[in-house]
Amino acid sequence: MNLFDSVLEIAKGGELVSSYCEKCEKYVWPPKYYCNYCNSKVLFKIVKREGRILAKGYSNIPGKKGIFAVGEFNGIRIIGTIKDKMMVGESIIMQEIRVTNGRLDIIFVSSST
Amino acid sequence: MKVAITSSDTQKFTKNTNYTVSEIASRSIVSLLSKSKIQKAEVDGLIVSSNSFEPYLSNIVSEMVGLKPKFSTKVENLCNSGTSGILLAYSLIRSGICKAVLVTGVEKQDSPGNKLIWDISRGIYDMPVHWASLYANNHFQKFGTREKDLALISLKNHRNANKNPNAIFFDKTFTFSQIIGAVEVAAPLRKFDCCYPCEGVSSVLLVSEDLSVKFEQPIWIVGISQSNQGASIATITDNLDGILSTRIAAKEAFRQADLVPSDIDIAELHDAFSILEIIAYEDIGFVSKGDGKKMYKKHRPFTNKRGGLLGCGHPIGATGIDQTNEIVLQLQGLAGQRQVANANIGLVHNMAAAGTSTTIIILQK
Repeated sequence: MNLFDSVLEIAKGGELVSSYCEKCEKYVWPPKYYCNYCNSKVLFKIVKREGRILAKGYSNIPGKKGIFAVGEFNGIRIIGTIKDKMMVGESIIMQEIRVTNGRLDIIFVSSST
Repeated sequence: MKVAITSSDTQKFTKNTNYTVSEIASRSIVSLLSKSKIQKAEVDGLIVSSNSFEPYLSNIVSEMVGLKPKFSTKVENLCNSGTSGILLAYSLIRSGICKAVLVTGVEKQDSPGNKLIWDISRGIYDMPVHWASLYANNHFQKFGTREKDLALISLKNHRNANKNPNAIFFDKTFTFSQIIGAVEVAAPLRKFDCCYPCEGVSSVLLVSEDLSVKFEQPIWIVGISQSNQGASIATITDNLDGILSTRIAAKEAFRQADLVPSDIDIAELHDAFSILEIIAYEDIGFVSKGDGKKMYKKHRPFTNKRGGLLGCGHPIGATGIDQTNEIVLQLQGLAGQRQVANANIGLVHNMAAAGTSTTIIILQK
């Protein structure tokens, strides 16, 4: 199983994992076998669910409708769906992690809810 | 060793046809060769820029048009493929390996390059318009850019395309009301803020300084640079208010040319989405950060006289080549109805995938 398939398989169980370099103490995302900073071999590590919104938008494309945002979690950036009325810079948590049509499908909610 | 572009060709951009990529590429190469003083035996390099999966494409094309070049390959760099091919051709000539390199960009409408499947960071919002809308929202919020500013870009480029017979929207006219009232795709971007992927082909011939003497109007590449910052949306700049690869590539190209942005008379900018043209104005340095919306008040440089990607359509591997062709034709005084007065220096801006890669080329008479 390749790296991305592994991430998706684990996401089906409700967790997001990324490569993590123990030497640099940094997540490496999108997932890779080696650290971008020191070239060490990296491990998979669960990404903490607390983050913040970097940017947001609204998609009107059939099958992909919804408010979406770039969330930053421990230095990794990923796009997910936001359910609440939230502002850029606001603290969020990954409420739900799943796979839809072979893509990561993550729901972000405000950390204050 | 200086490098010039001497000849060019673009065929009309269309919806999908039954022709193969090699057949489409051949049409443009034969057309260029018939218009140019270059002899087939003198062409010692062929680069085909395309996102097509067709293996051995450049050698198939070589055989189809009767070339036996010293060097032949396909170049793929998503939407930035065309100018990547030109950069490779330039390097081959500068190094002395080749003296005359043909670069042909070709794409089918259903190109595999229309979407970057690899980027797991995009989640289910994996269309290019999604990342473009994030840039637009951010620009609106930080700098007060409005939908009207986007619509004015789209209107300008579609009107320019009405003077370009090769543009897919050559015979389609749109009003400001139609553009600003069009269906929303990903807010604030509407239908006519988004380019239309299409089929197309475009070619240029690059030659060495010694070979250039046989051509009447060589146009010199005085600056050429590329920057690559990764592939995923995870690598974009923290504040989303600019495209880092464009800033780096532009700075280096201007340094090579010993020129500044105010020296540019005409520019072809990568307006895959209207907001990207506004951001390009700022990152290239035509205006200050945040002032992209004020650019339409400036008389120079002329921008996207070809019609841009918005008006011409976007045959991915061919776009950067056709952008370059437009600047070459303008500097040669051969741009027909689109010709601008006193154009001496032009710039090409071609980029890919959320701005993770940009090429800048500066051309001079």
